[in-house]
Amino acid sequence: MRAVSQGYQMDSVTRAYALYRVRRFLQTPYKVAGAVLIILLAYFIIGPLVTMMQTTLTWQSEDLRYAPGVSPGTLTLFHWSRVLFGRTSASMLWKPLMNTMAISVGVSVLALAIGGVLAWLVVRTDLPFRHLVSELAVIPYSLPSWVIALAWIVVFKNRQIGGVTGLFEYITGASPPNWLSYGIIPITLCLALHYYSFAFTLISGALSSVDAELEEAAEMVGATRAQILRKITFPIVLPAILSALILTFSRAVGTFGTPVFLGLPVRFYVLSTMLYANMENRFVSNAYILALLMILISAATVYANTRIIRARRSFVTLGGRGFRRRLVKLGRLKGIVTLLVAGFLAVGVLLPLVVLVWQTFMLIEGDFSPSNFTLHYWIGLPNPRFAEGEAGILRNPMILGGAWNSIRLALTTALITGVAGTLVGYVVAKGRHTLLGRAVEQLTFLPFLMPSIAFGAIYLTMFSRPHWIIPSLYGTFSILVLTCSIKSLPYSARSGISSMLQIGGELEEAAEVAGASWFTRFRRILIPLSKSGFLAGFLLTFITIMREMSLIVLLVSPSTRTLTTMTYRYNEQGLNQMGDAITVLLVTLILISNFAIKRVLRSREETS
Amino acid sequence: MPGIVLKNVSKKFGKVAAVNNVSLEIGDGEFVALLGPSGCGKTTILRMIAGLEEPDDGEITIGDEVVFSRRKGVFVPPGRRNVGMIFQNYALWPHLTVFSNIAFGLEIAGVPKDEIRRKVQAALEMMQIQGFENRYINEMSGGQQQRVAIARMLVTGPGVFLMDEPLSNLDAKLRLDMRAEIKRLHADLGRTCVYVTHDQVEALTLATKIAVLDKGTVQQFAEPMELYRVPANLFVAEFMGNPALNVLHGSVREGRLVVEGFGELEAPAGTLPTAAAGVIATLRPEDVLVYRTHEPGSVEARVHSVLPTGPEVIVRARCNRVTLTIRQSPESDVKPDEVIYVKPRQGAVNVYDKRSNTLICACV
Repeated sequence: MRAVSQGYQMDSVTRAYALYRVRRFLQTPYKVAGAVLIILLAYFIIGPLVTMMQTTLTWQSEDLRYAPGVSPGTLTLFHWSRVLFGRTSASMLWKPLMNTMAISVGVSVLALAIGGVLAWLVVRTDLPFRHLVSELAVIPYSLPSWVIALAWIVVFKNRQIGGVTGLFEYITGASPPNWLSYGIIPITLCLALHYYSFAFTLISGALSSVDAELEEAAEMVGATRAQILRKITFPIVLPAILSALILTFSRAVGTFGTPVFLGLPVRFYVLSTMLYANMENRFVSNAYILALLMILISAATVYANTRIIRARRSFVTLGGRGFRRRLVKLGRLKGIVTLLVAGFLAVGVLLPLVVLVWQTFMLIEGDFSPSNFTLHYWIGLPNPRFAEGEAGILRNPMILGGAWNSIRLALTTALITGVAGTLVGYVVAKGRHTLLGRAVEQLTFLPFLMPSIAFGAIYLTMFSRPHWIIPSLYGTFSILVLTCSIKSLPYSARSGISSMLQIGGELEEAAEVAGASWFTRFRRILIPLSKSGFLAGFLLTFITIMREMSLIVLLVSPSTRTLTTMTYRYNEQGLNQMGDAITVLLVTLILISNFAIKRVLRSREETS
Repeated sequence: MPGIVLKNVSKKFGKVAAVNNVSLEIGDGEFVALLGPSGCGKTTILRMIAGLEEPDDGEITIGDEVVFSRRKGVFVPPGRRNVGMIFQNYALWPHLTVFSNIAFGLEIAGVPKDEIRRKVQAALEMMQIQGFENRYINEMSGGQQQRVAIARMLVTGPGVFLMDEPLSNLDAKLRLDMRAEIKRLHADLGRTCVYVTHDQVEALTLATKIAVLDKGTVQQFAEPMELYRVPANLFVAEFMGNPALNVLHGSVREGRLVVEGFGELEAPAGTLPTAAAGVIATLRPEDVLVYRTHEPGSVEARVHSVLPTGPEVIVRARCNRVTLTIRQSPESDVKPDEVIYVKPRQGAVNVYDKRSNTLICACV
C-alpha cells in the first residue's frame, strides 16, 4: 500500500512539473516559433528529399510501360542500375555528366581569370574610372545567366539548324561553324561572361580588406612590388579566390537556361537539361537520380568551400578601422590596360544587351539593315504574317499577364521569405546556444545545396497530388510561391540572422523587463529595428525571383507563366524577336529594381 | 522595499554549471555587489533575479512573492517582478528618442499621457539631462546614455534595481562621476540594489554587502571591510586588493607559525592549531612595515624596484628568496638595491590551510 501511494505522489509531482514545462515553453516565444519552424522545414525540405530517394528505389506505375508485371511500390535497384550501367547510361548520364564537368571547370577557371584581374585592377591600381568599371562589371550578375546566350544566338546563329542566320553571317557572309554557334564552347564562354562578375565581387571584397600595412611591412624589408604581390597579397586573398572558384563551379553545375538555348538545338545535353528532358518524358525516377547526383556534387563543393572559409577566418584582416591603401601605378601600360578593360566591358557587358535590343526591332529576323526597323514586336497589332499573329508584347494580354505573374510571384515570395527569414533570425539569435537554434539554422541552409532544377523537380511530384493537409497544387500559382519561398530561404535567413544578432538580446530584454508582451516587443522594438535589413533582403529576393527560370520551368502552367519561362517557350518556337523583347523587358525591370536597392542601401548607410 | 532571497539556485548552460547551488539573502534596501572574474556566474544570477534566465533548480523570492520555484512550478515573467534593470551596453532603443525610451515602461503600464510627461520630466531632472528628450540615442555621449539608462530604470518606480556592469563602458573619470551618482541614488531612494561588477574598487565603494563568486558558487558574502580584512579563503584573498597581497608558504610547529621570508611569527596563544604541515600566510602590501635600521622582529630585505603611482609608491623587495610587495606613502625615498628591514604589522597576517584554502586563523 505504501509503495503504491508513494508512486502516486511521485507521479503527481512529475505531472505538475511537466505541466510547468509546457507552460514555460509556451511563454518562451523563440521556442514556440522554433518548434513550428522545425516542423515546417522538415516537411518542406527533408520530406521532399526522402520522397525523391524513395521514388528512385521503388517501382513506379509508369515503369509498367517497359516492366509489365511488377507491383508499384516494391523496392528495386532497377532505376539506379539502368541510369548508372544500362544500355542508355552513356547518353543518359555519363555524357551529360562529362559535359557538365567540362563546362563547369572551364567556366570557373575563365570567370576567375577575368574577375580576378579586373578586381585587382579596380581595387589595387590607378586605373581611370575605377568606380564606373566596377559598377558596369557587376551588371551581368544581377541579370539572368542566359541573357548572354540569347545574344550569342542573335550573332552566331548558323544555317545548319535551319531558319535565318545571325549577325556574324550578315556581316562576313560566311556561316559560322557549328562549334562556334552551339555546344560546349559558346556555353562555356557565355556562362563565363556571366559568372566572372561573381568572382569579381568576391575577390575585390577580399582585396579591399587587406591592410596595406601588411604590404608596407614587406616593403620595409626591401621586397619588390612583384615579390609583395606574390608572397603577401596573393596568399592572403587565396582563400577568397578558391572560394570564388568553388562556388562558381557549383553554380555552373546547376545552370539550366544557357545549355537549353545553346545546347538543345544540336542535342547537346548537360545534367540539368537531361533532367528536364526526363521529367518532360515522365521518366521521373531517372530525373530524380540525376537530381540526387546534382545535389551530391553541389553539397560536396559547398562543403569544400566552408572548409576553406573556416581556414580563411584566421588570416584575412577584417576590421572596423579604415585602411590606407596605396595604389599600384600602371605607368606606361595605363593606356593599353584602360583600352582592354573598356573593350571587354563593351563587348562582354554592353554588346549583348545592345544586340538583344536590336533584335527586337527587326521585322524580319536576320536582316540587320535599317530598313528592317520596326516596333511591331513591342507595340504592333496582331498580324498573321509575323509572330504567328501575336500582338507586340506591350499590348499582348498574355505577355502582360506573364509580367504581372513575374512581379506578383517575386513580391509574394520576397514578402514570405522576408517574414520567415526574420523569424528564423529571431529563433537562431535567441537560441544560439541551444539545439533548437542550431537545428533551425542547419535546416534553412539545406535548400542552398539543391540545384534549382532539381528542387523544382522534387516539388513537382511531391505536390502534384494531395499531400497530407495540402491539396494538389499542380499548375497553381501557390506551388510557384511555395517553391520559390523555400529555395530563397537560405539567403533571407542569413540576412535575418545577421540583423537579429545585431539588434542583440539586450534591446528586447530591456522591453521584457519593462513588462512588454511578446507581441509588443515585436511590434515596437524588433520590427522597427530590423526594418532596413528586412527591406534590403526583400529587394534582393525580389530580383532573384524575377530572373528565376530553372526553378519554376517545370512547375508553370499556361495561366501561371512568368516572363522567364515565356522567353523559353517563344525561343523554342523560333519566335526569337518576341522572346528577346520579353527578355529586354525583364532586364529593364531588373535594372530598375537593382537601382532601387542601391538607393535603399545607401540611405540605410547614411542613417546608421 | 523588498528583499531578495535565493535558495539553492542552480543553472547549467549545456554541461557547464554557470551557477551551482547558490543561496543568498539580500535584505531590504541593501546594496549588494556580485563580484567575481568573468565566467563566475554573477551575470547569470542577476538575470535569474530579473527573470531573463530560468534557473534549473531552486527558489527565488522578491519581497513576499515567490517569483521562481521549480518545486512549486512558479515562474513570474520579468515584467511582473517589480524590478528595473540597467544592461551592460545600456540597451537603449536606437529608433526611439530619449523621451520615448524613458516613457516606454510607463506606456506599457498604461499610465495616462500627462502623468507620463510629468514622470519622465522628473526622471530627466533627477539625472540632469533635461533638454535632451528629443534627441536620439546615437546623438548622445556615453555618459549621457548611461544617465538615460538610469532614468529609464527609475521612472516606473520598481522596488529593486538590477545593474549589470553599468559602468564598464565608460572612461575612468566618467566612471567616478557615475559611481557617485549611483551611490547618491541609493541613499536617496533606498531601493534594494543588485550590482554586477568585476571591479573590486567599484564593489567596495558602492556596496553595503559583497558576494564574491567563483565558478558558480558564492565564496564569501560579507560587508566590504570584513571581506577586505578577513577573506574567508585564498581565492577571495587573492582577488581583493590591488596590488595583490603577499602569499607566503609556511607551516605550524608546536603552536608556532613559521613562514618563508620572515621566519617565525608570534601568534596570540590558542589561535593556531598545534601542528599543520602546510599553511599559507597572507599579508597585504600596506601591512608590511619598513625600517631603515634593524628593529625587533624585522628581517633584512633588498629593494628590487620602486614603482611610484602618484598617491603611493609600490616597492618590490627580495627578502630571503621571497619577493614582497610593499605599499609606501609617496614620501618614501627608498632606492633600488638599498637594504631595508621589514616586518608584518601586528594582527595583519591571515593563515589559510594549504589543502582546503580556507581560513584557519585571522589576525596573527
